[in-house]
Amino acid sequence: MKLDDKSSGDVKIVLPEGRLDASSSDELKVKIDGLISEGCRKIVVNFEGVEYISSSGHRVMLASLKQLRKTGGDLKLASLKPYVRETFEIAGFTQLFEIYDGEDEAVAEFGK
Amino acid sequence: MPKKPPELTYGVDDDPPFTTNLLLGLQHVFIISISLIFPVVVVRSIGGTPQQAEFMVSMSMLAAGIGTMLQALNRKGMGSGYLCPSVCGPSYLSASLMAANVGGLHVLFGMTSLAGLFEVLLSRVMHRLRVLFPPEVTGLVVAMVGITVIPVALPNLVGRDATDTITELPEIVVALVTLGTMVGISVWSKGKMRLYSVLVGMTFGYLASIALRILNISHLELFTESPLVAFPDLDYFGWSFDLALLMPFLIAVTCSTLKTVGDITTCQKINDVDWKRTDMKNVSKGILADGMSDVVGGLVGGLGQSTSSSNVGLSIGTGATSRKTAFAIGGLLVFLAFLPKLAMVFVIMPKPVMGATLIYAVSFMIIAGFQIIMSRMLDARRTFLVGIPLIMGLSVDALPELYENVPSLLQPIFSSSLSLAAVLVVLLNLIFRIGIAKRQRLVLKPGVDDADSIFNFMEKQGAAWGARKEVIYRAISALHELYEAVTGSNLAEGEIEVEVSFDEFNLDVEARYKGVPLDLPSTRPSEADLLRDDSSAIRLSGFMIKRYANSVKLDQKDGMCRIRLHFDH
Repeated sequence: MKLDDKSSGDVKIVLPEGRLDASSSDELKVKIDGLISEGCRKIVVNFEGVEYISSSGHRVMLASLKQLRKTGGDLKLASLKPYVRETFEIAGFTQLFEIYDGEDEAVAEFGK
Repeated sequence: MPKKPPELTYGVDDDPPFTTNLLLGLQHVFIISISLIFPVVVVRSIGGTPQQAEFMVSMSMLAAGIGTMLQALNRKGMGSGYLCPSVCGPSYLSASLMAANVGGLHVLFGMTSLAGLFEVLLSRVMHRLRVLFPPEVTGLVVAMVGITVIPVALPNLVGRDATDTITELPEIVVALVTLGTMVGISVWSKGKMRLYSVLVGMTFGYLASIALRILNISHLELFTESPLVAFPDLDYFGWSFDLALLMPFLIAVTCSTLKTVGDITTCQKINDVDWKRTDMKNVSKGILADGMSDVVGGLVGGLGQSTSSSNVGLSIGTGATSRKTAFAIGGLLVFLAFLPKLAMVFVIMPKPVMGATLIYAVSFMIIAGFQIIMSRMLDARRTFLVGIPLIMGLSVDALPELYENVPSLLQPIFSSSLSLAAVLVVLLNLIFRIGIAKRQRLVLKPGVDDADSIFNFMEKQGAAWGARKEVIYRAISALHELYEAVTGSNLAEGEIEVEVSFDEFNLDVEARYKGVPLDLPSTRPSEADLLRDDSSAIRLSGFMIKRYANSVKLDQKDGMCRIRLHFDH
């Protein structure tokens, strides 16, 4: 899996690419943990490049969300492909996360 | 129960208001009238009189009207129940010309009825032939029924035919006005205006034709000279048979039947948001109606009838597929068969108006066909299955000289891009079935194999079977969750054996390993559990597996765990 990040104001955008399974989700967890420890409290994960996510990936997203909300921050998801979004629904996680159609929309939501 | 797609204003079961329904029917009659050129071509080929041509046009209208209503009927096994109008079938043109030239119109009428009876018989076994019509085959046939209209549509659009080979500026203007109006209304209009896009476009086309003198005083004379009411001259009726012509008619009716499979498949798809595959029982009823309309066509002295892809395209474009409209069309056609003066309005349709209307309608048909093809995973085998007949079919129009010396018996197959592509795709489908195992085995070695092993295996098999992508990805997700859970918590003592089997309705995955059974809870572990407890990760996998599959069975015998996952296809 490829992993990249960029900034938009005080919002950090994480861009995973490929499959998010047990082996790759640890890498994503390390990345998000690193951003949080640097003081970042507003994170958007752009799923545009993610073709598949397993329950290990869902767990990492859940852990990151809880960690951020505990410290007054938040994590939003953007650009999920239909099948990836469906896995979030199957896992019953769509109520927990704020999910947006596009990255800009998710970033703008932090400004409100 | 089919679910009506949101883009339809009137679905198949809806009941449009009377006036709306009549106007919708009128639009269809305009398109149907284009096919009335075929009986004229046949009569002219034998040097027949204009009265003979008029008789055959009227009787073809009558047959099309009855056929359209039979198709919409869906009662006691007759008719698919869809708005899928009948027209003079282009598949019959070659055989009809042969019959008329060999034995006259009475032989043509007799052989048309006989061909219809063959189609009636074919309809009785059609539902058992599902194996011949996977989505790649029906999708290509649907696309080709649109493509086959192009050589008729384009010359008309620019105002040309066999006797007129010059395009004039007014003809281009009329074509642009007509097509531009139809497309503009379809794309940018709001509300119910889209329903009448073709009618408005054609009206503008007629008006522009009058203004630019494409329609002139000679056309008006044709209109005024026609009698208001006329009944067929009984002298024209008569039937005889020539067994030497049986083969060309059987080939023609086979091509027409394949086209009907494509048209009815499209009707099923556009009327059901959850469409997955062709319902062959419904197709059988449609083919019975199609066969009966041929029988009627021959009996009353018309040309062989076939379902009309252009009209199906029109119903997609306008978002109106109500079967009630079929009865309006049928009624109008029967009415017009005895009212030559009114029928003349359609007969004098300017060529650019005709061409623009056909292009509007077949655009939808071609795209619908490719959508059906792409609803399944395609491997090299299936790529050739679609690609070769597509190329060969297109060659009939692009390089017609290649087929000039084909024996006359086989002419109906090579007479149109649709016939050749349809026959080839059905044959190739049978050939390419050789060597596809319906059951495949995969051995997963913990610590060695990863997600790639599962994805590669399942994607390859899904494409070989022509399975639906969404079902294969559900199976991949479930199998991958199983593998991660079993290996992540060391539940398996060794390898995990996986066996996957497929048929059109079922995808089954069976995983076996020696060790401890996997927990498959019906409720998801709580958020707190998921964050606190690592074992809850395995329970989340188990929960996801149960949600991905339509049914899960787990058993254990002599230390061997077996998990069976079933997916509806």
